[in-house]
Amino acid sequence: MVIEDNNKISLKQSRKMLVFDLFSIPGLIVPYLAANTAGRDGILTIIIGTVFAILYAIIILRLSSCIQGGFIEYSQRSVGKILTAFFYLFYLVKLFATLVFSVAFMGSIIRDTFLVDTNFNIIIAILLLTCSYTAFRGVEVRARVIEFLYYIVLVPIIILLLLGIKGIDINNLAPIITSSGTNIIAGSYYVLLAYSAIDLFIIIPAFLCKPTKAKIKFNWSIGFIGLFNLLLFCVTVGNLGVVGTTKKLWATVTVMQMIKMPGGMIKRQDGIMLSLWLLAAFTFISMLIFYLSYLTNKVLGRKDYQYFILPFVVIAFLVTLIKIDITTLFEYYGKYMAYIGFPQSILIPVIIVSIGKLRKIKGVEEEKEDE
Amino acid sequence: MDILHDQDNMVTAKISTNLKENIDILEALFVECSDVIKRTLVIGNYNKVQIYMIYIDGMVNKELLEEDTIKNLIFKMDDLPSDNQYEYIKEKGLRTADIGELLTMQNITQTILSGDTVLLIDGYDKAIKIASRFYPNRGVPETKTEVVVRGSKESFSEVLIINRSLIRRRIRDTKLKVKPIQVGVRSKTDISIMYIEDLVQEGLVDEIVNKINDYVIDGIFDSGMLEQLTESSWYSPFPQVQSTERPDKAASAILEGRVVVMVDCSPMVLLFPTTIVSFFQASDDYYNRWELASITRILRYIAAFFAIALPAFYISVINFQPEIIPTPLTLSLAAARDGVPFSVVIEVIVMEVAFELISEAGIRLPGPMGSTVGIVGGLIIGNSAVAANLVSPIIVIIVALTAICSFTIPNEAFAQAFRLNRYLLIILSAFLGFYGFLLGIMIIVTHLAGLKSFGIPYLIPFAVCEVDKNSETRDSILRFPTFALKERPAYANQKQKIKLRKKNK
Repeated sequence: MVIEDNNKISLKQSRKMLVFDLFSIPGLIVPYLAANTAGRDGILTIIIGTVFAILYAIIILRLSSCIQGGFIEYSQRSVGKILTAFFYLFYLVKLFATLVFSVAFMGSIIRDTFLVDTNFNIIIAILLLTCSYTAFRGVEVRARVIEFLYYIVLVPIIILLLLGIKGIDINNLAPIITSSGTNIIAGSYYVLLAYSAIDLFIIIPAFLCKPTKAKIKFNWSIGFIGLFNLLLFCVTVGNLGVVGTTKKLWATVTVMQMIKMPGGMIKRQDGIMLSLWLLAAFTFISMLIFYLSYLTNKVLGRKDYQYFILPFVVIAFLVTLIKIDITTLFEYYGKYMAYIGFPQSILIPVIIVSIGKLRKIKGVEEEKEDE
Repeated sequence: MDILHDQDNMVTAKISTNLKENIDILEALFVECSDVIKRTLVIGNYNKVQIYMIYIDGMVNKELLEEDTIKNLIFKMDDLPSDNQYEYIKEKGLRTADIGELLTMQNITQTILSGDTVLLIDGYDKAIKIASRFYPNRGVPETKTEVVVRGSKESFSEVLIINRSLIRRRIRDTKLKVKPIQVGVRSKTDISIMYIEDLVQEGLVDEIVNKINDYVIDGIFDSGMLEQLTESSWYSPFPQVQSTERPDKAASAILEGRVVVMVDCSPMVLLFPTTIVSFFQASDDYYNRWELASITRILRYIAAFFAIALPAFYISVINFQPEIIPTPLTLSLAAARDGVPFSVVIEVIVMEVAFELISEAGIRLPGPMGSTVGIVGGLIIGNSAVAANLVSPIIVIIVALTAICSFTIPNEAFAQAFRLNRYLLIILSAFLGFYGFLLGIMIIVTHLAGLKSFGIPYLIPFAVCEVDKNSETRDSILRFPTFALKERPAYANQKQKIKLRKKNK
């Protein structure tokens, strides 16, 4: 059983990667998103948002089962190189915007929690460099890192959240269905945006050991994250209230300070829990750097994607130097994702696959079998 | 390169049917070698023939040579025929089963240098090898670096033949193969590659041989040199090959489908391939009860984490996040550091370096002095440093605890890697506190995730989980009961996965 260095991952690894991607940075802001739009009805927005996410995943996976692997290669055969390059620009902007926001977001949390006196730029620079190292090693290494960290990160956080149930004030969570339907739907949409990592499943089959025609079922991963987000919301809003939750983007971190662990050895367990969360965030940011480099490499037809990592890291660093408040940045990013980022992730693959079907273009695996 | 050797130091002179020519060549090759013993004899009664014996003094079994060979040749060759003398001498003249034929001068010189005796006969362009090796050795020593409470106390020695026999005693299987190769242009070091042919993964032995033969080196004196030449990630501080001095561990590895490489003159053998869990497994884990073994393993993993992380964690807590620990403890630590002129980082680095110096000095010094240095260095100097307020007592505790934790790791080479990585975490924590500590952990984990040992990911079974199903997980952090360890690890031949089953099934 020799595992070659071929940048291929298994289905099990990809499921764990999805859980980490959905939980790492999106998980920190879901309570804020849900509470900000629908107050106590954030519970409903999370449930509906998760259902939407599952439907979204089904659509994306259905589309990727037509592509069967290399998204760029299929797109170039389907719509041509120029249009593929045009569509690539949309993905480039989306991934880059997510990268900048994620880095700025995590940098702000780190500065607030760990390094109050340290220069923000140093925090960001070192964060980017560390994540670029993981991106440089490829998707296989990233998958193994996630597998290694999976239970180490998730289990303590879930245990802490379960301990936090004791401190829930039910008046903060009930009664529900007090917000308007519009707010609930809007909130559900914003929660759905937190699951936007699912759209990378249009690209991920290229890295799977066996990208088959059959639908790859990731619903349990999304369902698990949905339950996790629900628990997170209940504990956060239950302890802090709606007002307390909407005061800060990362209210989750605040609530971790309040939860008392048995034994009392660690006074600031939010520091410990956040560090575990940070490990997941590293993998998320490295994922973004990797896909940016990979897609650029594919579109330009070069041999190695590693050459593009450093330029993207440098540009991302320079962009984060722009002095903009994290809340304002989040607002801009949220609007971009709501109006452009998310719709494009459905529209572009639909266009490519539809044209491909009309032109009777075969999937990448089918094409390889024919050859 | 000279007239008798090529650029790879191989003897190019041709063997001749004329004994005098062969003698001249050997005299020229072994000129100024006073330990090479040469004797020309005339044997036979009615039909006489001249023979020439050559061996190296101190490397042969003189009793075998004198009593069973020379005596026989001198006194029992009366019926020597006029032709086919070579065959007659081979069959009647030598009272040992282990003889061979040598057809080239290169083979002849190698045989002599390996400790065997060579017999040349006038009129024949070939020679007879008489296996007469008898190296000075210390027998089967007791294990020093991999001590166990329960289990064999035997250790490998420097003699390859003894090491091979230690494995043979434990695995009496005809499928246990011993593949010999030689490495080193000048040292011609004998290497034995041992494996069970139906358990080892296809192509692994060839890959190991190819890796070994990838380099042309002057000499190999220890398995450690070979290990460094065969590793793919040479820059990594983590060993990608496991080494052991225990025959039971090596035998166990062979039964798991691994390959054991033995190097002559080296008491440490190499085990290919390896994963991270192998470095946490000790032999007596399997000889003791599973509960005890499991607890001990968990302790080792925790100790390994402390060995790499404790000093860095201390620095980040004291310098950046003192609010993480309870206030009374923070005050206690602050009080302990009262009056110390150096910063926490300097304290930690100085004490770590001091410990490394004491440890290194303890290894180099002869036995009794080594332990004295340990006591002097550890107790008196440490105590004095604290009394003089140069370092705080808590630092001594941290460094001592770190050292004890690193010594719990059964494999010394793996523990060494932790020593190096500890400094990385210390530096990062010194600049960026807990955040730097996490960055260091992330870098180390990413590095480990990318490591492979002959195609096998290092982090199995913690990563690449679907590959091995249960076999490695049952023998990683916890050691399941012996009857539950039914399968061989992922790197064994998948057709021979089952190693334990009930008799009637």
